Order: sequence, then C-alpha cells, then structure tokens
Amino acid sequence: MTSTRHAGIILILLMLLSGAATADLRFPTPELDEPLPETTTPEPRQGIWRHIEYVDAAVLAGAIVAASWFAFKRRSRRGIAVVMLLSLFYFGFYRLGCVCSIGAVQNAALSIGGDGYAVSFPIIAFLLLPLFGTLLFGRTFCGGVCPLGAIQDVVALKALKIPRPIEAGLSLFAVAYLAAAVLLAFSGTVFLICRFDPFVSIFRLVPVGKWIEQVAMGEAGRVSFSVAGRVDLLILGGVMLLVGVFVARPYCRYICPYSVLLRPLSRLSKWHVTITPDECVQCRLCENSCPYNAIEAPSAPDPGRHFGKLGLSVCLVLWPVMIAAGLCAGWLAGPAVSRTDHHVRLAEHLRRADAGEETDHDLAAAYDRQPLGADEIHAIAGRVRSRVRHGAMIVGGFVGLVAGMRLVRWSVRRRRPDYVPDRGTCLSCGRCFEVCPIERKRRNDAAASAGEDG
Amino acid sequence: MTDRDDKPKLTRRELLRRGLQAGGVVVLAGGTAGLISEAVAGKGDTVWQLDPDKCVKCGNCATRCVLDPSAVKAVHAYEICGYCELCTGYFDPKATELTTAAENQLCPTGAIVRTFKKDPYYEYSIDEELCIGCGKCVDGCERFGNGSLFLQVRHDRCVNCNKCTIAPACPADAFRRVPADQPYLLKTR
Ligand code: SF4
Ligand code: SF4
Ligand code: SF4
Ligand code: SF4
Repeated sequence: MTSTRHAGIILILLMLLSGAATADLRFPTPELDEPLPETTTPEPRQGIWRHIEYVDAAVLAGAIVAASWFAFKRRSRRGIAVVMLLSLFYFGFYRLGCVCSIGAVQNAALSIGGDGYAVSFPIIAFLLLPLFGTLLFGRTFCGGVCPLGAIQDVVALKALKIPRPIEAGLSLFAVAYLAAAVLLAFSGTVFLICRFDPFVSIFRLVPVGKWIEQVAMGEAGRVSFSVAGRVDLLILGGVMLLVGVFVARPYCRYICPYSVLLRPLSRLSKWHVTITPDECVQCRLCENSCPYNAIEAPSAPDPGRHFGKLGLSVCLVLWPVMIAAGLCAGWLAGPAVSRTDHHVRLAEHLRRADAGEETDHDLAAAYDRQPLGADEIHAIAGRVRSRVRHGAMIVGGFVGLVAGMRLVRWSVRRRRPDYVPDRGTCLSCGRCFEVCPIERKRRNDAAASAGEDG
Repeated sequence: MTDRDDKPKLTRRELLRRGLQAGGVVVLAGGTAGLISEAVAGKGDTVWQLDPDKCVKCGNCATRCVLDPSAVKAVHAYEICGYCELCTGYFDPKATELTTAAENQLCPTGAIVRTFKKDPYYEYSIDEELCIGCGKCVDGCERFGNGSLFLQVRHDRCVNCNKCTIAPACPADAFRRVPADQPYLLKTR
C-alpha cells in the first residue's frame, strides 16, 4: 500500500519539478557499459524497387498501346478485357492505385502553384500519356487501362439506361469536381481526388504488392497477412460498386475529373473505334449493347431550321448567364475553401481566442510552437483568403463555361445517318463489336479465309 | 463523322475539327514542356515525413492514415533519453505502482518495452507491431522528460500516398515532402 502511494507522490513531484527545469536535457543521460541502440530508419523502397515508378510509366504506355491495338487492329472485346484485367491487377492491387492519371492532375497544379514542390517524371507520364493516347485513339485508356474504370467495369452486370438529359446534367458534376480539385491542389492544401478516391481503399484491402515483393526478395518468412483499409473509404467504395452494378461505371460517367479532359480530346481524336468499319444496316442490335449509353441513334429527320436556330440562340444567351452564376458561386464558396489552409485556421483560432470563444487546443499548441506573431498570421491568412476567393471565382466561371459549351453543342443538330458511338462518352470498351451482325460476318469471313490460307 | 471518307472535299466542320485537333496537340505539347521544365528544376522523388518539432501530438496520426494501424509510429532517440526509472512516457500519471502492469502504462496498446539496464536505468523501446502512433507517450515524454520519444512516418509501412491523408488533418502543419534519400526528420542531441 505504501509503495502505491509512494509512486503516485513521486510522479506528481517529478512533474512539478520538471516543469521548472530549464537545462538542455531535464535528466542527465546515463553512462552505460554497452553502446546505445540507434534509432532505426527503414528505407522507403529497396533494391530493384527503388525506381518502380519508371516501370509503372512504361507499363502504362504499353497498356495504352495494347488496348488500342486490340480495339483497332484486332477489334476484339476479349483482348481489351484481358488488358483491362491485367492493368487492374498491376496498377490497382499490386501498385495500390497510387499514383494514377486522375490524381496526377493535382500534382501538376501544385507544382505550378509553387510552394517548392516539383512534379517528377513518372507523374508527368501518368498525366500526359493517356491524354496523348486519347488524342490519337479515343478513350482506349478508359476502356482498357485505368484501374478505377476497370474495377467498375467488372461489376457492371445489369446496366440500366439513364435518360440522356439526366446523364448530361450529372456529368457536369465532374467538371465542378475537377475545378475544385485543381483549386485546392494549387493552393497546396488538400488533394481532393485522392482524399475521396473510392477504390483505393479496396485496392489496399489486401496487401498483395507487399507479399510479392517480400517473396521476390527471399523474405517469405516475413510475409504478413494484415488487412488494412479505412472504414469510411471502404463504405464509399462499396456503395460505388453496388451502384455500379446497375449504373455502369458511375465514377467514370459522373465524377471522374480526368474525364473532363479526356472527353474533348476524344472528340478531336485522330482515330476512333467504330461499331463496324463496314456499312451499318440499321438493324438496331447495337442500340442497347453499350452499358455507358454512348451509342447514338441515327438522327431524326430535320426538325426544320427554325427550331434549330431558336434553340441555339436561347443557349447562346444562357451561356454568359451560366458563367456569371459560376463566378458568384465561386465568390460565395471562397471563405469555406480557404479554411483548409493552415494559416487561415490559425488566424481563425486567434480571432476566437480574442473574442473569448472556445477554441481548439491543438491549434493553440500549434500556434505556440511556431515563430510568427499574431499580426503576421492575420496578414498571411488575409492574403490566402483573397487568393483563394479569386481562384474559386475562376473555377466557378470555368464550370459555367463548360456547362454552356455542352448546352450549345447539344442544341446544334447534326446529320447522323447511322448508329455511331458518341466520341466524347465512348470508352472504347469494344462491347458493341460483339453484337453487330455485319461485324460478326466480317470476322467469320476473315477467320474462314485465314483457315483456307493455313 | 462517318461521312468523312465519302466526301473528298473538306467540309467546314472537318476544317474546324482539324484546327481544333492541331490546337489540342499544341496545348498538350506546351503542357508537357512546362511540366518537364518543372521536373528538371525539382529535386527528384519525395516521400512524406512529419517534423517532430512542429508536432503537437493531437492524435490524428493514429486515425487519419490510410493504413490501419497507421504508418506513423513512435520512435526513440536513445541518445537523448535519460533512461529514467520513472518514465513519464511509459507510466500513466494515475499509475499506482511502477510495474509493467497494463493499467500503469500510458500506451493504450502496451507497445513500449521496458528493459532493466543497470540500477537505476531502464531502456524503453517501441514494438512497432503494436504501436498505433497515437503520440500519448511522446506527449508524456516531452512534458515531463527529455523529449526523446517522437513520431515518424515509417517508410517500411507507408505507401507514400500522392498526398498523405494525415497532412491536411494535422493542426500543426507538421507534414511535408522530403527527399526520398533522406526520408527521416530525426531528433538528435
Ligand atoms: S473516366 Fe476516369 S475513372 Fe473512368 S476509366 Fe476514364 S480515367 Fe478512369
Ligand atoms: S497530426 Fe500532426 S500534430 Fe497530430 S500527432 Fe500527427 S504530426 Fe503530430
Ligand atoms: S503511446 Fe501511442 S505512440 Fe506511444 S508507443 Fe503507444 S501506441 Fe505508439
Ligand atoms: S503517406 Fe499515406 S500511408 Fe504514409 S503516413 Fe501518410 S496517409 Fe499513411
């Protein structure tokens, strides 16, 4: 009993004493007979894995070429699907989904935004290879390479048809998402796309990559079977996959910020997959074969110039209104966005403390540990606030611009004699090849003549 | 689009398309050049690390990492440690006895190993399999001891997320990218 009380008293005494201690170290370090242990510093990656990011970039380039080759030369859905699954395994489950082309947009923004960060070559490759690939071949990257797309493609079993106006409206979310992500990355605070990547937690659920590396390094004995993953993100991923059973690739169609760049490039692409290279006989068999609702039916007979002109002029008037609305929304959202910044948070803490309100004690401790005075913090925070507000307005205006552009494009009628994939939304997955009777005949003929030759 | 081949003459739409196409190439090429010049000026590969001098032991390191348990662990700078018998990083202030019984320990997972060296010195080391990076021991050590315990991102565990998810949650702005060949910010004497 006495020893119990003893320990407690000693502890309290010690705490009181040490609070007043001013020496460099409160307690002298001992003289031991043996050398002290070193602080261990395990390396990030060892041996041949030092530069794996460069391997990743090469695999990415190879996969884009392979997916395009299967889409154009072989016209084989099966080939595309195999590339897609390999890519899902490599980039998703082996490399844990990071870095990806979608997120690389933020690295570029941060690098341009200053702050001492510079993008590395592999990340540049991740950002740009799919863009160049899409400018050449359309979105074969989406159809056959992107691991986020692939994991959704696998579960898209019962695709329902989403009405086109809803489709167009929902896809505007991606534009706003891209804009917000670029803004936040630019100001160096959050990487929004990474923070809410719904699939990365699924890729990391089972540490396949670690096992492979440990076995390859001859450390099979150290292989651990711990399963990791954050619950909130896992739920997000699970819900996304569940929705994805009925709405094929919901992330790709309505959320993916990278798709905002890929769509226009695909519209301009040098080549693009066709349902069949031969003549369409309008059998309508392919109409429902695209789970992404990307096949457009032949256009109805001309509704008359008058209607077309009227629709177009309404849209042209609405365009500036949309841009103005975007600017306003950005102006309103600015303060909330700036609260992600460290100095703005510190300034907020100081303001509350001055006003005698309750404030976060971690922030208070952080304030005590840093060298700047209150005035300097307020000054920095003020600059950040105004910069973020301007940035948010640019971003809002951009969303309005794109929304208006899509509206105008929608209102312009074009002649479409056959069933064709919409170049913007087609993911070059090759499913429609399989159902087109002309295409099947062509393939059978080719196989037959190959058989005769052989 | 399909009528491209049957019309030998360039239509207005086709001309526009070609123009935009060229524009796309120019924009992409410009972007490539700009980013490459950024990369050349940069310092190469980076990893995430936290600055122990800024850290306020808020506990977010334990909860905000994409990994569970977190890739952040307590580490020990032995050369600073006083090898105290009465370690305030090891013992709970409410401890009733200076024994290794779980209820006397500050660490919620019992991750600190206490080894007798010679009277009256004890060595404290972290079992990283058990440590969750909550920083309780770090706080205890810093408040009343030499401050030899501190938190670090352990790179044998960290998957080097594109943006560390702890970084925006850190109230002290302690996270930053460091060169991959100097991946630790250690406390030294
Ligand atoms: S739309 Fe985005 S997520 Fe989907 S496949 Fe393309 S890049 Fe990947
Ligand atoms: S989040 Fe920041 S302040 Fe909190 S424990 Fe981690 S490094 Fe320290
Ligand atoms: S108290 Fe927290 S940080 Fe310290 S060893 Fe235990 S789990 Fe790790
Ligand atoms: S980079 Fe990722 S894995 Fe590493 S400490 Fe941060 S959140 Fe955890």
